[in-house]
Amino acid sequence: MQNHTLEVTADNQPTALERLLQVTRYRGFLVTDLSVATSNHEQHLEIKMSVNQPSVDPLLDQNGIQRLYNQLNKLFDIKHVNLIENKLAKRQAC
Amino acid sequence: MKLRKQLKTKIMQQSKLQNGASFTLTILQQFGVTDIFGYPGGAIMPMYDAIYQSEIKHYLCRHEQGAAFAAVGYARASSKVGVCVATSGPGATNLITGLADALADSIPVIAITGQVPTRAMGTDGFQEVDIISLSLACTKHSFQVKHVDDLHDCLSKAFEIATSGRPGPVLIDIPKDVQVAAVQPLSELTTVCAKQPTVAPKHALSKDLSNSIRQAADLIVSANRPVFYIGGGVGMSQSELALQQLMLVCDFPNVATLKGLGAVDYNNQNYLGMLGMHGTNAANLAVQNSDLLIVIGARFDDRATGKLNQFAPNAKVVHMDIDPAEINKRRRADVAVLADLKQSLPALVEQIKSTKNLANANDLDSWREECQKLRNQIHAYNENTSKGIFAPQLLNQLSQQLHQQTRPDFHVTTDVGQHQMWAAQHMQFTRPEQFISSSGLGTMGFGIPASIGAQISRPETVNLSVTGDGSFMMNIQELATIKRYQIPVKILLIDNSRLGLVRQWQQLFFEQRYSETDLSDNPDFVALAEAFDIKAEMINSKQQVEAALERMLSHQGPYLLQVKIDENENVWPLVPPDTANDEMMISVNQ
Repeated sequence: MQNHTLEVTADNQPTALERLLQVTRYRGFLVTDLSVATSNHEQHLEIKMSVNQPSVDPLLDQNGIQRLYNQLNKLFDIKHVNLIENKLAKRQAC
Repeated sequence: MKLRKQLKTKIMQQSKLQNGASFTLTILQQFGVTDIFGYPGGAIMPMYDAIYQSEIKHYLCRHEQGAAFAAVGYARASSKVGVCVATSGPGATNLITGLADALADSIPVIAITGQVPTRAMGTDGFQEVDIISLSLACTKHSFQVKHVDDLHDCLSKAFEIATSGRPGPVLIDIPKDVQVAAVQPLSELTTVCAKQPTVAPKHALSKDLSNSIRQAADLIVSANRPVFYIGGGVGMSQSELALQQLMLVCDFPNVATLKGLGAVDYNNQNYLGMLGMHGTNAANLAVQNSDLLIVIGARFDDRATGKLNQFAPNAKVVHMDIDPAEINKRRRADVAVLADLKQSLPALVEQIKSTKNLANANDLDSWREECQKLRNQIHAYNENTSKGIFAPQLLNQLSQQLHQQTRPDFHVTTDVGQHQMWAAQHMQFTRPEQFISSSGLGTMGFGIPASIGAQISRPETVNLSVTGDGSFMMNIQELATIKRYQIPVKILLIDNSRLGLVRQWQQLFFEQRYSETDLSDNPDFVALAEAFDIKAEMINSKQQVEAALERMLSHQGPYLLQVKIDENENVWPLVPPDTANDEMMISVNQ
């Protein structure tokens, strides 16, 4: 199971967080950590979210986080998604 | 009595000003909406009061699901946006299936739902449901308008979202108090209205489109066994002519998905038919043996690819699409061309023309020859084993009669099941909007209301709804809509008294345990249609087919032709589940 962290900037709309979580779950990820704060005079939400992906299909698991990134990036309320490289994975790779 | 008088006075005062409901209709008109489909109810009554005197024509369907499918059919038959309206609670939930269908097939639909007044929201009020939450999984976006001042912005954004990029459905939930709230007169707003873009494009379509086009062209000109894999995106982006240009430059074999049918004229000499679970032998083998798939506006749906890790195992992939999330979703792309096909296809044609490095003509010729042999065998296994009417022949004959008609064009809608697959396999299309079928979601009950919408959208065309006895019953109430507006839809009901495709799978994969698929206690469909003043007849022998089709097509009003077929007839070929596309079954015993 791989962990990933996403930083998301969204419009401060009542449905933005719900939509983000719905897509995350539907695309096969579990949220393991979540923090939300407002920014830009409460116009935006700054969301930091850690997720992991239980394995379903080796073929589809590959690049799964990129697919989640793409799907989140499509959402109208979401202005920006930043995928932070997993530090643990990076350390192991070294 | 006094209270009623006060209420009447209040309503009259409000009617002098434009309220949220009438303002909504004004904005719809500004976006070119002329027809809407819906069903009234408590929380949407102010909207229906505005509809009463609106220039927009409202069509009363007899179930909100019918209204949603009518809106989908309306949009699919033309380049217009489909609009449907429903009340809160059950009215809104009944729209959900139609919205999910529109999302799966990328159809621009606007759904407007009434909601309990804002002060009552969140209190489990009468006919209150959290439709926004329900909409998350079945719309491209949804809005809840909590203040009348936000109506214009939300509606404008809704149209922009529904039609831009990869189209899709948008829901707008309007509480009842917002519908009756006064708004400033429209004249003060006209300067900010109209069709100026309100949604800034978030993604640059392709960081370096010309670079990816060059890479795509390099792969294309050096391929020995290339195949064009055509999806619904071609028709939706109205890129058929650009595709034709590409096919003139590269006369490669081509295949279509279910939603891509008609994007390539069936007369095209390199057209090998539909690929996938019920695709042609020719299409599936060509794709499986190709060394390059040029995928245009398609998404590698599982019904198209069969077992994914054995799909086109030796092929590189050029994937052309507008949706970044489709790239590398199910199949890795060697080159992704992320753009509107209207932009990328002509650019690709020019790039290929200017590429000096031409393909190995000999290899390409032998590949074309190989595919041509497969093409010639497409209908070889469709022999008539049935004593009665053989559905593939019936549909082929119908298709030929439609093409011979003098009327300018036709639309065929289908429901979902065996009849749908037979129509996809055996009817011929020359334009993508000629075949309107619930492809991604596979929604039974789609065909009749979608056909109503298509007919209203394009009144000059012949609209034919091919349905099955299972699907027909799923939105049978829409016969009342056909009657009410005398919509001249022709319904071809292919009746095997079974839930045919499920029965087929039970026969093949569930040891003939026919669980709940016997529909032999169906009602008398002819009598049922006649109860709605729809002319109807039933046939059950081959000799009756030609004349009956002629009677149906030449009839001025709505018509039902019920065609009884053998209950054991199956759809062939069939790629069994979790199997590679080159392992097709062509009979029960195989």
